[in-house]
Amino acid sequence: MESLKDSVINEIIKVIGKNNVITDFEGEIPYENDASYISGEKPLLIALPENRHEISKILKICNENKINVTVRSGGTSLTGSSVMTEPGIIINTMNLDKIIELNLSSRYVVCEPGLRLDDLNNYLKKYNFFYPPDPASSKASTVGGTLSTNAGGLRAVKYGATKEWVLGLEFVLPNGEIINTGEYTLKRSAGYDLTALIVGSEGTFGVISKAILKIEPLPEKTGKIIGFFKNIYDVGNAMSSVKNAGITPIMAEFLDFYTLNSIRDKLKLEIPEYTKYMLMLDIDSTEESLEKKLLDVKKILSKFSGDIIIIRDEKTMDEIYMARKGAYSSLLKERENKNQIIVIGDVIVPADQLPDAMKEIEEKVGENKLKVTLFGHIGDGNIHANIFADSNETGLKKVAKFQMDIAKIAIKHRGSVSAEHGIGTEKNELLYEEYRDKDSLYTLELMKEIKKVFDPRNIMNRGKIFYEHN
Amino acid sequence: MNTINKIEEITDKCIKCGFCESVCPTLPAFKYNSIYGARGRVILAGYAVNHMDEPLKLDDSFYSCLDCFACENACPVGINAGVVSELLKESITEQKFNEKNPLAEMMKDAILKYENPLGLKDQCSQWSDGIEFDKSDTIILTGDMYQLMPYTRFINKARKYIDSAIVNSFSKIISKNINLITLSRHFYDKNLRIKMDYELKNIVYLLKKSGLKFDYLGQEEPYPGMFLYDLGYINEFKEYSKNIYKFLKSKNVKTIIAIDPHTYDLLKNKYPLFIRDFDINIVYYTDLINLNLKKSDEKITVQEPCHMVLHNNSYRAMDILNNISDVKLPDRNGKTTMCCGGPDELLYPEISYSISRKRYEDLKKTADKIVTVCPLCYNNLSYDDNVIDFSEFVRNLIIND
Ligand code: SF4
Ligand code: SF4
Repeated sequence: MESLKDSVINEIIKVIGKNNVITDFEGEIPYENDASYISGEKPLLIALPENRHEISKILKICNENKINVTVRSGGTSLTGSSVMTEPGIIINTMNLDKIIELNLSSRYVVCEPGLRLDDLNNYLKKYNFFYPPDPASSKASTVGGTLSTNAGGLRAVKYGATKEWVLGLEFVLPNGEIINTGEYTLKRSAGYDLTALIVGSEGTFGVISKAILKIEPLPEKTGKIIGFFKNIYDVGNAMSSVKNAGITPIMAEFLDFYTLNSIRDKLKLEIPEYTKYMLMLDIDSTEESLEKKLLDVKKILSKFSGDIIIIRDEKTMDEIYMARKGAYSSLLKERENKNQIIVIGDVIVPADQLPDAMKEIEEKVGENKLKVTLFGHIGDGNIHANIFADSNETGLKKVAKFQMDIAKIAIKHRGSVSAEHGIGTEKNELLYEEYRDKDSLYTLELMKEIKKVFDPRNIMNRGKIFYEHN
Repeated sequence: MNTINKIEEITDKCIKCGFCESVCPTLPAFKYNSIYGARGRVILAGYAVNHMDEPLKLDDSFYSCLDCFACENACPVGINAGVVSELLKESITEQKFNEKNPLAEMMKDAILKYENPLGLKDQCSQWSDGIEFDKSDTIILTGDMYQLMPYTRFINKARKYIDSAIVNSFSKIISKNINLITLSRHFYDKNLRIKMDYELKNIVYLLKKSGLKFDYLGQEEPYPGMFLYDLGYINEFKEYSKNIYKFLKSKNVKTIIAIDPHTYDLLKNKYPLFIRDFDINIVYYTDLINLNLKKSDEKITVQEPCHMVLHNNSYRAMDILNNISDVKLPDRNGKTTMCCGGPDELLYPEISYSISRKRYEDLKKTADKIVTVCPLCYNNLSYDDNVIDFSEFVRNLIIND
């Protein structure tokens, strides 16, 4: 008799053809991992649909047979969102990679989930437009994946995270129903905002098959200001002073000395010896007023640092931007051996709390006797603690403890345990802690109820987001 | 360090970020089946060397790699999935893993017997009939690349209609009776043959016009063994390249002018790995061109060859073109250039077609006229008559010619 597994595989092959499924042992191996350190189950099958109807039919089959489904595109999750916690199938949406429509006057672009963010922005650049969310993985990450994790990135200080840029969705529910949410318009006030609900849901509700994204004209002119600092308080105060002066940079990044060292060759800057932290601000303005604005910011920063550099040359600015974007990757080169992993933490606090939170994190680093480097998006209070650890059980336990320590610091300072990487399986206990501390566990119960409405048979990305005590 | 250790050392560094697969041309051509892209290849190779006792089927994943090296520039830890593929192919030919690839075996057998992957050594010098060369210790070496294109194009057209299982059985039969391969001399694309012969003559013309004195070995010209290397037959290549080197030395060759990027890369970078004290000077023909050229008023785009730009950091052809014409490059250019799909032509024709079509469309969006600097690129991208070899484009611009 045909097993359930075989019958599901055969049904899916019937729907999308054998060339669009992967069932061979070798072919399934890469899907046990994403960009996180978390390994998942080997899938029963990987489906590579080419349109929403195929996605719908696959989901219907899985729903009827209660088969776990994980959606994946660029496979760049840092929290294990796109690997399977229990056996099932993976739907890979990479073949849906088209730009369907561009409307400059109404400020939107319609595209498919498998489109990579850099490809989208390279396309928009020709029209002098851009789509602002820019996670460090934008080379490989996709519209579908970044919507699912509500990704942020370097420009979030000015433009916010992904959620702000999604106008509407075409979405396939687990029962195969294809729905449309949101509008093509820049405003909406038409019932519950299901678009906002789906963004950040990490594939636990269904599959995004199309997205209407808001776009912006490229800033007319930008300039970069870099400052070197002896301590984090000066960095924090410098940043607050800039903001208090009514200036919102389009990018505001800080890096600690270790991180700075790992990208030193790419930055090609003279770094003063006393440096413990570097602050990097991108300021935009009109051609005429940029110089003045840069000088204003320089004046403010000079109160806190003796070494401030202004950079106007676009090539140099690009090189520095790419170096910062590649900071996490550059740190990876510093691994001592193949068994060492670097886990990237991702907490957020209100921007004014950042120096205090950083100080406490630094203390925890010492207490836990770990090698940790720090960088992040100072403009919005997002701190990435990069934890070097052994990949064995002891190492992972240490990581989990430290992640919990910094999560508690973030919570204490009115922040959150996850700023832009999502929850996946890595942070579900931290999410629980966040709501436990707020004495609002009912919020999580409400989230679970919402999940049940979308996915009553619980087939979508099982084991993600919610912490199970057992 | 043996091949397996080398693979392990590289793949251990991978953090599975997927940056490499965003530029890998084979991944979308295989509908995003991961093991046919850079990240999947690195992960699969890492798995294979740690599970040597498992019967894994590996050949298609690694033989379909174009060796374009686009992935290397995207990788934050500097891994080159192309090199991983080379090492894996080598391990396959050493029978450390599963069955060898029959088509690759057939070509290896042909090269070892006939010094040509299709047994066509005598056909490959016909283009030079009637051309006078100088007595010189500098020679041009064609690597048979231009000459083989008309044959591979023909085979390819036929292959599209034949199932790969049949191709494999057929290859096994030919391997056993390798002289059958010489029948391929009857099957070629006639127009392309005329074109390729013409381009070879153009190259000679440009070099002569630049005042260079050089010889050509004609019927004796050796095939440098590119396919042996590319298909992973490194042990065979070691011996083969030594013999070729010995032969070239016996002819007192001091400088070789390579006229295609693949042969240039092989002689310049691979031969010295296997031949101690290798002392033949290898130059690329575009580096020697010194001509009085007029400016073209046409807007052109260029397919920059991976083996020059990505393997050798060499942009000389681009410099010449920039000086004589209005060059517009597609989004993927320079260090992010995209392969034409040519290296997959014989083993994976549909994949090669999908890649070349995509690249052709990207180039066409940039400018109507496409200039190629490699015979493989020409063969793969010439979907219309407005695709032109560098040598022909430049020749048309010589002043007072
Ligand atoms: S880019 Fe490098 S590190 Fe990232 S997946 Fe590819 S080979 Fe691995
Ligand atoms: S060398 Fe080219 S084809 Fe091979 S893995 Fe790298 S990018 Fe892909």
